[in-house]
Parts: sequence; structure tokens; C-alpha cells
Amino acid sequence: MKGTELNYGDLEGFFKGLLESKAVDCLIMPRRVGNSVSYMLVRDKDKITAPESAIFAPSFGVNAANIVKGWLIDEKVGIVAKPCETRAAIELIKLTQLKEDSVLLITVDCAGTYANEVYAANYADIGDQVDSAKIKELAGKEISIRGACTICENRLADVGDIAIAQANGEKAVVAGLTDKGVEALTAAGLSLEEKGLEREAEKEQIAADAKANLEALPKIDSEAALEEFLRDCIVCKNCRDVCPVCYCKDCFFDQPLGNPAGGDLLNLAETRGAVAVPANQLLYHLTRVYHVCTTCVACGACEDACPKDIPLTRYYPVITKKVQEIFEYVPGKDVKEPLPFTTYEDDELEECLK
Amino acid sequence: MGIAVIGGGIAGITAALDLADAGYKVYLIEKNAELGGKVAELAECETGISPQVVKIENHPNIELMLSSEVEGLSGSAGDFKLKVSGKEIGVESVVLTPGYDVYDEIAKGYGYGSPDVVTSLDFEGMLRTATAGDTRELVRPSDGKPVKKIGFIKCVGSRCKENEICSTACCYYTAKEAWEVKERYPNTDVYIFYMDIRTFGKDEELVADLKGKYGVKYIRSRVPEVIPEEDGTLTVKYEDLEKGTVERLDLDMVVLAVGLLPSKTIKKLAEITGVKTDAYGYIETNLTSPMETSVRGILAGGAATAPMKVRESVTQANGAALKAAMFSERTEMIPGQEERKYIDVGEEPKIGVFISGREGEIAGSMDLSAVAEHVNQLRGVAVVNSETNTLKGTMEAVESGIVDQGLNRIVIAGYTPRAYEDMFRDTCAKAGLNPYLLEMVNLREQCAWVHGAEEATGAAMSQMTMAVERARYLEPIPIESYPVTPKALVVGGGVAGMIAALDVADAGYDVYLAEKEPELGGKLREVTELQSGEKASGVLKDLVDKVNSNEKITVYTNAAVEDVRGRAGAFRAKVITGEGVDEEIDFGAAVLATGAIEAVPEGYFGYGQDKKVVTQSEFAKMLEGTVDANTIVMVQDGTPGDGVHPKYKSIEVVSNALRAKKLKPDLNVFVLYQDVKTYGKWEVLYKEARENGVTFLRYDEERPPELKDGIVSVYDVIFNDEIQMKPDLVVLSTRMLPAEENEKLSKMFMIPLKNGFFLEAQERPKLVFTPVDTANEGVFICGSAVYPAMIDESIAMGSAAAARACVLLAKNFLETPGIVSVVDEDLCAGCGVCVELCPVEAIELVDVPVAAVTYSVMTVTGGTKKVARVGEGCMGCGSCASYCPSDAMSLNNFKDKQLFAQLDFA
Repeated sequence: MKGTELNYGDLEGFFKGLLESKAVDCLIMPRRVGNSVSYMLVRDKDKITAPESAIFAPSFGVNAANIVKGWLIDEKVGIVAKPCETRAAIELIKLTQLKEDSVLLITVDCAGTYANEVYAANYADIGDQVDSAKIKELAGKEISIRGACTICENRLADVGDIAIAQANGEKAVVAGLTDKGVEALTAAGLSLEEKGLEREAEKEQIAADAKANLEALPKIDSEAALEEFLRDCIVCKNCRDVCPVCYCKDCFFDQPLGNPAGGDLLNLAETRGAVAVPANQLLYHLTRVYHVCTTCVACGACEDACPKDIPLTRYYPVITKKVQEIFEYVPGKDVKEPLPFTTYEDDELEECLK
Repeated sequence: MGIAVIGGGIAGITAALDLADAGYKVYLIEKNAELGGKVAELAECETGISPQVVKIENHPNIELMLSSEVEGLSGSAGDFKLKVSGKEIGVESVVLTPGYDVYDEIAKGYGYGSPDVVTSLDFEGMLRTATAGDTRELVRPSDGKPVKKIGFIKCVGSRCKENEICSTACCYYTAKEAWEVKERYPNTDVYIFYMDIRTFGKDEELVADLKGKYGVKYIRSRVPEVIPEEDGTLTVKYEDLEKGTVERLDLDMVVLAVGLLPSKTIKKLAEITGVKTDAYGYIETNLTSPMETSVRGILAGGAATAPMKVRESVTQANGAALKAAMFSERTEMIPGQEERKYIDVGEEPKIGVFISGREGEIAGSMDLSAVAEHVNQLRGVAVVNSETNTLKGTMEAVESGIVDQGLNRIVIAGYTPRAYEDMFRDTCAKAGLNPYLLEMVNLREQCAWVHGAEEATGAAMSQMTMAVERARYLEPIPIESYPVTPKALVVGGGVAGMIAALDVADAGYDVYLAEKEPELGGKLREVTELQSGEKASGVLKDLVDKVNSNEKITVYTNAAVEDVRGRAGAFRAKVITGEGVDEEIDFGAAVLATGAIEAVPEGYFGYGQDKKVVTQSEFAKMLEGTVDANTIVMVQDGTPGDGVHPKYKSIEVVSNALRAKKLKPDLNVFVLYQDVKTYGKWEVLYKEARENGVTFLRYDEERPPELKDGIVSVYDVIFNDEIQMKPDLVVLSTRMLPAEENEKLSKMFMIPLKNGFFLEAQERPKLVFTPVDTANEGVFICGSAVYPAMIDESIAMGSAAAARACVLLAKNFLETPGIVSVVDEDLCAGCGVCVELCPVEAIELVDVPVAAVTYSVMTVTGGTKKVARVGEGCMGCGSCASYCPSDAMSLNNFKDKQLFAQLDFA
């Protein structure tokens, strides 16, 4: 892998170089505003200041892929984001909701994130970046990372075009993961050398911990349990709106059949005697989980967005991971890998036929 | 005038329908009071054959003459006078399909007479009754006790003194019956006593499954005796060939796989019509003209020409029909070819519900009056009719309901949709109602059969309500008609392809014949002598000359077919040849006859290195000269590698052995084998070979023969000893590989392959009624491209494919399918997953214009967006609609609205 080690202080120059060299026309990247970190879309390089204080920040607000979803433009946008966000962007490329040639995906190592409001409120304790030891220590103070992050197996920057990996002592390894990435790095003025960035042992440890945490989650193991779990849902569909891989132009649940009102609803009440309103609470979540079952990157944006604090991580990522395991598919791992629905093998799903 | 079809079994039914559907006047003459013949007695065939019977009964071009006897025939081809039960009819040609009789002089020793010893046909009846009821166990006829052990005894009344030929069908039907027993009653132990297992192709796989997965015990022994014991046990005595001991096996039930005999009516028909019969009493035909009798204008098909299975019978019947049509003129209208106008259905649903089944299985398991009463209460139901009992009656009621009572949604219950949906759609269309305003409820298989007597009535009510609710939301689907191109494309110029081309051309249509080699002829070019002793070169030359001189046939050699588009009746493709031809051709039907290739048994017995080891076809060429050997060992089985064993494998072995013996009577010929599969009349060649001193040695499957230092050793299971031979020549039987181009053709014509060979439309471990039809309407398959068989079968299949193609080409127009996917472009996000999902590549992603938006800093390059478009070729599978998350893609007649309405009452 071709890359180079940069001091934190050099990162600003690197990002500016990407814009200056026209490797990208604009960048979507985190920026710090006081205690908070949020995304900005930047075209003027001078607006980039001290990126090292923002790009590693363990704060999750929106999934960056959701910002660019459906941007079928020819201008080239660089996206500096966490692995789950890059993976969502890659799924969107497969679904032609994003042009592969118009994005440069720059992925930053992630140790786990706090909901952005938690992060801002506890900035004094959390700081600009964390590692697993720090996360444990903060957990002792009841400052906990998001549920989705506890079961995340893919936290290291190994997807997209460019990886920004944390190295010892306020240093970062910047490496090209694709030809496009290497080209951009070179254009930005970095001189590259061979860099090992496999980190297999670390990845295995992360995956093992994530699996154990997933196992430890309370199970929704019956229809009754599911109904109970979703009971407080008000079908506001926020979980859909923040989902980076929900990509319909007009959601079925905004159409008359999925979102019955007035006469349609009266008809249903006539048929069934009584109908729960808002209607289709269970159907909405069952349909949605089916729609995202192969593409869900388990970023947990849905849980963050739920105004009723339903712990949706126990539902969406848990179910979708199972489906993905059946298809041996990791969403966003490789832009060339076809969506499981679109392939067919003679001997597939035999285990499900029994 | 018209064409007479004599015999109303499956062959007669097939021939009559092909002819009538192509616009010929048909007289179908059956001596019994009902149609269906033997097939109607088989376990699963009631539903299989009754739609065809109904079609015949209602066909405007068929005059059905039941309980009728043929009494006389005069005149000649093109102008026959046939006397039938005192009535005279004039016909141009005659198709004889009198079928077969079951061997009925069963030897006393089999214990026949005990109620628990039944013939295979009786057993089919038992299985059929068990299907209809909810019997959970197979019970003995005598005392109703469960059958724990059942034995099938093969070759009862065949391959014996009284009936020396092989009845062919028994090996398969026994396997099928054993399979049904194991599928339904897995705890029943099944034993099959046999001499040789003579199954072929896919049926061979069924036998392998039975032996493996299902644990059926195949015991090689001719059972001399079944002894009914006092306690009801049936003791079978048999010889264990491997141990050389006589064994006893106690069974609860025994099924005798009885042989087939020529129908007794054949003799009489032969006397009346003058057609010759063969030594066994079958109608005489020829290896190279398998449907032609000795009298011009009189054709024959099915088990009247030789013992055979349904698949082969139907094939011959298709072919015989077309040959008969050559003497006749089309005089009749083809049903469905009249112009239709549909009424405007308006907003308000007026639903008519028709429930049939006052008698039989449905009425027996539910309270139909209560169901009708319940349906009558439902909103929008204008009419409930539960009085009709016959298909014809129901159809008439539906028609009058639409015309007289203004019904605009129809719900039918009591008929199997798979078999009757098309007919009822047609009924609606005839009455002026768009055919997609029909909904069917399967009260038989999906209610009566699966719900016990207590639950069936309630379940039926629910199913009826669901159907009514769905019907409420059914929408008319626009139907367009398009003209049929009256031309056919035949791919492959071997025997089957040439026959298909000639037959289609003789029927009056233009044919494109594309052969990949520089010359026509296919595998026949390699053959020296047919099994009948006829020289192959003469047959070949005759065929090639006929094809080349036929003005209606355009022959392309060194040719490949590319870029197939369109659908039945209106296909288009490219023909590209080595000579630089690159032509667009239009055709209404396609026949795929790509043949098969002999696999090289490289390395087997040192083939390839050792010059003394040759294949049977190489040996046949050597037999054109003199035999330069004293001892020959033929290894019939065990050839490793890809491909399938051709059906003629044993016949090739036996006839080559006999040819060799004739050339050199003192030659030693040893045949090492597992099963000698000389089916049908070829059994006599096997006998002749043994009588002429050919030695057959059956070896243990676990201990295959070996060739080492010029010595072949084989462990013979009869002698229980190793035998060594020093042959001058080892002759190997070869497997057959599918043609290389099948893979590509399969994709272009959308026909599935199995082991590389084309698969017919009906793939179930049961009976094949449409052996040359495929999953893609308008595309037909024949010859070794389906399964490598002998020349007579290839010819019959070639004619059958031609016949089926001509039924289609006879039509002036066809209608576009209604149940296809449609796109709502406003909803489509252009993700393109549907494009990938479509199995027939009917969807593409296209750019459509949208307004481009310009901002001050940059231009958003827009102007277009991607949306999915459904093109021709959509088969309505619904894969795309089931994926599409936003419902932009949906399937006509299966709209969410319709399904939701139905589900609400589930």
C-alpha cells in the first residue's frame, strides 16, 4: 500500500492540497465549532483550519453518505468520514445513487463514537480523539459510546480511496487504497512510499469484541417481543430519513397504500373493525428492514434519530447482519462486489431450504 | 373433409388437439364411453389430462365420437371413406392411436388373486384415491392395516416366453410409484425386484435417488413365486444371485409391474385399414419413418407401434398429426383468432362468484352451501352460482353472467388454476370482459386436500373472501395483437433438424435451417449402418437431397444464430455464416436441434494410448471391412466423464456384437455390463446375441473390470469369480456430450438446460405431455439436443417439434401477454437493481430528460435521469416488482393494492 506518515500539523496542508490541485472540487469534512463537531461542505481551502481537531473526533451526527445521496453531479466531491459512512457511500454507488467517478472517499480510523450532543456536552472529558482505553475509562463516568459502535466490526479505515489511520504520537498514516486514491495523494503533493496498513490482529480483536457485544444485546425473538419493542413507535419515519441507504424517491410509506389516510383508513377500519393509528407501525419496520437488509452498514443513525428513544440498534443492524452473513456479504467492502440480490448461484441458500 | 384420429388415449388426444388447433377438421373416434385411455387411470393424471379432455369436448373443430367402432375403410390417401358405428365420414387421412392392453394372464405363482397383490395400474388407482382423501398411511386392501413393506416385481408378462419383448414403460413407472410411496409414506420399506434397470436420462437420476436418498432396495432377481400366508403376509421367494441362495422376504403388499401388449383392437383395425402389423402384433413402422404405416395416408403413433412411455407416445402423436395434415386442407377457424372487443367495466365492481364442485372431492370435504351463503353476504357480490357441476356448465354460466347480468369481475372456485385459468380467461374474453378481471380459488388442492373435514369449510370461506376482495381491485389490462410471421428457424442440420425443417416446409411455411458445420447431416454422417441393418449413407443422402431441393428451405452452413429478440410468433435474429452472410431473419417459431457429441473416453482402459482400445462407433466403422481379432471385450458401463449415457447404448453394443459375429462366427465376444437396456422390440437382438454365442458378464459395481498387460479381469457376480480374458480388441461405450452452442442458445432463447441438454416445459418427476415444448412459447426442442436417443426417436421428435411449430404458425395473430411488469417513472429512483434481477434481460435503464438547473457558482450537469423501462420479453415473473422498494416497478394483476386487499382477509 502506498502512503506516508504525516504529523497532525501537516494534515491541514494535505486537505488544502487536495482542493488546490483539483484532485477534488470540494470536500465534505468535519469541522470543529466550539465543543461540537459537524460536517461542512468546503470549496475555499482557506476555510480549512486545524482539521486534526475535528476529523478524529468521536462524534456522530449524521451519516455523511446521507448528505451526498442522489448527488448525481459531475463535480468531484471528497468525503472525509468514518468507515461506516464510507461504506454507505459505496453501497449508494452500487445503487447508482452516487457517481463513482465523482467522489473521493477518504476514510478516517474510528474507535467508536458518541452521539453528537453527548460529545458536545462532555467535550472536556472526551477531547479531540479517543482510543479503546479512553472509551472504557469514560464508560466508568457513564459517558458511553453509541450502541451501534459497540457492535461495529469495521472501525479501521480500510475502505474507500484513501485511509487516514492514527499512528503513535499525534501522527497519521495517509495511504491510498485505490489507484484513484493514490493519484489524489500524489496530486496533493505527498511523496508516497510503501506502507503496511493491514493491522489484521487489531481487526480481529475489534471483530471479536463486537461479536461478543452483539451476543449480549437483548434479543427480539418472537412476534410478541417485536410488537412490544416497537410499541412506542409513532411512525414519524425519522429513522428512514436519516438512513444513508434508504434511497427511494417516494417512499412506499408516503404513498396512499403505505400511509393510508381519510377514506382509505376508514375502509381499513371497516374491514378490520378497528385499526391502529398511525397505521402500519409494524409493517413499516418490517418492510424497511427488508429493504435495507443487504445494504445496512449498521451506522446506528436510525437509533440516534428516534424521538421515542427506541433502541433500534437491537433491531436493524442485528437483523441485517444475519442476512448479510447468509450471503457472505459485507456492505461497502468493495465497490465491485455485486449486491447479493443481483447474483444467483445454483447452490445458494441450501441451508435455508432445510 | 378432415382427419380421423382413432383411439382417444393420450396419443389420440394429443394428435386431435394439434390438428384442431391448427385449423383442421378432426373426427376423434373412441371405442369407450370416455376419453383418456390408460393415462386417465394413472395416479397423477386426472388433473393432467382432464383439461385436455375438456378442451376436446369444447373444440369447435373436433367431432367427438365416443362409444364408436370403426367398421370399414375404403378409398385412398386424400379421399378415404370411413365407416364408424354405421355412419360414414369422409377424411383425407387417418391417425391410428389405439394404444395398448395390459398383460392380463398373470401366472398363478405371483399370488395374484390375493387382494394385497395388485397390478401396477391398480396400484395407480390406489395412489390416486389416497391423494384425494387424507390418508396418512398406505393401507392394505385386505385388512386396512398399514403397509410397512411393499415389493414391486418387474417384468411380469414381459421379457418372457409369452411376451418376449421388453415393455419399456415398467422400469420407469415402477420407479415413479416407488418414489410416490417414499415421498408420501417415508416409513414404508420399498423393495424392487428386477432383471435390468432400463431407465434413461432423467429417469436414471430418479432411480439413483431412490437407491440413495430414499433407501429403496433394488434386488436383482426374477421372482418365481409370491406365497400368501395365513396371517396375510406375502412371502416372496427369490434367488440372491450374488450368494447363490434362495431367500425369502415377507411383505405386506406386492405390486406386479405388468407388461404392455398391443391393443386387441389393432388386429381388427389392421384388417379394416390394411396396415401391416409386426411379429408382435404392433402396427408396423420403420426405423426411419416411425409414424408411417404400410398404407399411405394412414399414420400411427404411441404404444400401438411399440411399447413406450407417455413421453414417446405424445412425441409420435404430435408427429403423426402433422404427417396426417399433409394430406388434408385447413378448412376451419382457429379458436381465439376472432377479433374481440371488451366492454368498459366502469368504476363499480359487480362481482360474480361461480363455485363448482357439488360432486366429488370438494363437496365431500366441505359444506359448499354454507360457503356460497357466506360469499353472498360480501360487499359487491352481485351473483353467486354454486349450481354448475361441469366445466362446460360453469363456462356457460360465466358467459351469461357477463353478457346478461353485466358482471364485471369474475371469481371462479373449484377448478385448478394451473390447468383451467387460461380457459376461463378465454371464456371471459369471449363474453367481452377483459380476461384479467378473473380471479380463481383453488378449493381442491389448496383447501379440500390440505384442510381436514372440520376446517375445510371455514378455510374455504376465508379463501373465497380473499378472492372477492382481490377481485374488487382487479383492473383491465390492455391487450394488443401482433401478426405471426409464418416462418420457422431450425438450428441444427442433423437428422432431427432436417426432419423438422422438411415437415414445416411441407406444411407450407418457409424455413431457415442453420447448421454450424460446412455440411448437413450431423452425427448420421459418422454412422455406417443403422440398427435395422439399413445403410446410413442412403438415408442421409436422401434427407440432404430433400432439404437442399426444397424451395421453402433456406440452408445456411458454417452458420451461427445470434442476437435473438422478440417473442412467440414474432422472433428476430441474426444468422452469421463463415461465408460472410450476416442476415437479419424474422420467424414465428424456432426449433433447436443441435444434437450431441460423442465424448472421448480418454484414458479409460488406456483409450488414446492403446491402439487395441476403440469406441463402439469406431468399431462399427471397422465392421465395414473384416474383423481382425479373435477375442473382443466390450465394456458397456462405467465410462467416466461428463455427459449422459445415450438411450441406444446397449442396442449399439448388441447390434455391433451381432454384426461382428456374422462377419466372423467363431469370434469370441464378451460384453461386460451392469444393465442391458435393450428396450422394446430391441430385446430380441439381445436374445439373438446370446443365442449366437455372445457372452454377457455382469460385474460387481464395486469391482469394475480392469485391463492390465493386455489382460482384462472382471469379477462376475453370477459365477462369483474373477474371469480373465486376453482380447485383441477392447470396445468401449461412450457418453454423449451436449453441443457446445447449447449454452449460448439457452441464454438467447431462454430455455433452461439440464446437464447441458435442453429441458422441456414440464419438468416434474411425473409424466411429460409436452416433450418438445419449452418454457419459452414458440421455441421447440428435438433430437439428441434433448436426450441422445436412436434415429427413430430423433425423427419422431423432429416431426413433433415441426408439428408444434406449425400449430403456432397457423395463427394469423397472437396477443401480447397481460401479466407483465410496468414502471411508474415518477417513482423510479433509477437504482438499476431490477435490470440485474430480470432473468430474461427485459429491463433496461434509460436516460430520460429532466430540467437542468444552473446555479451561480457551477452548473449542475443534469438534463437526464435514469429510469427503468420494461421491454419485450417480460415473462411476468415478478422478480423486479418484488425487489423494488418504492413500488415504482409493479406486476400487472399483482398490484400491491390487490394483494393488500386479499391479505386483509387472510
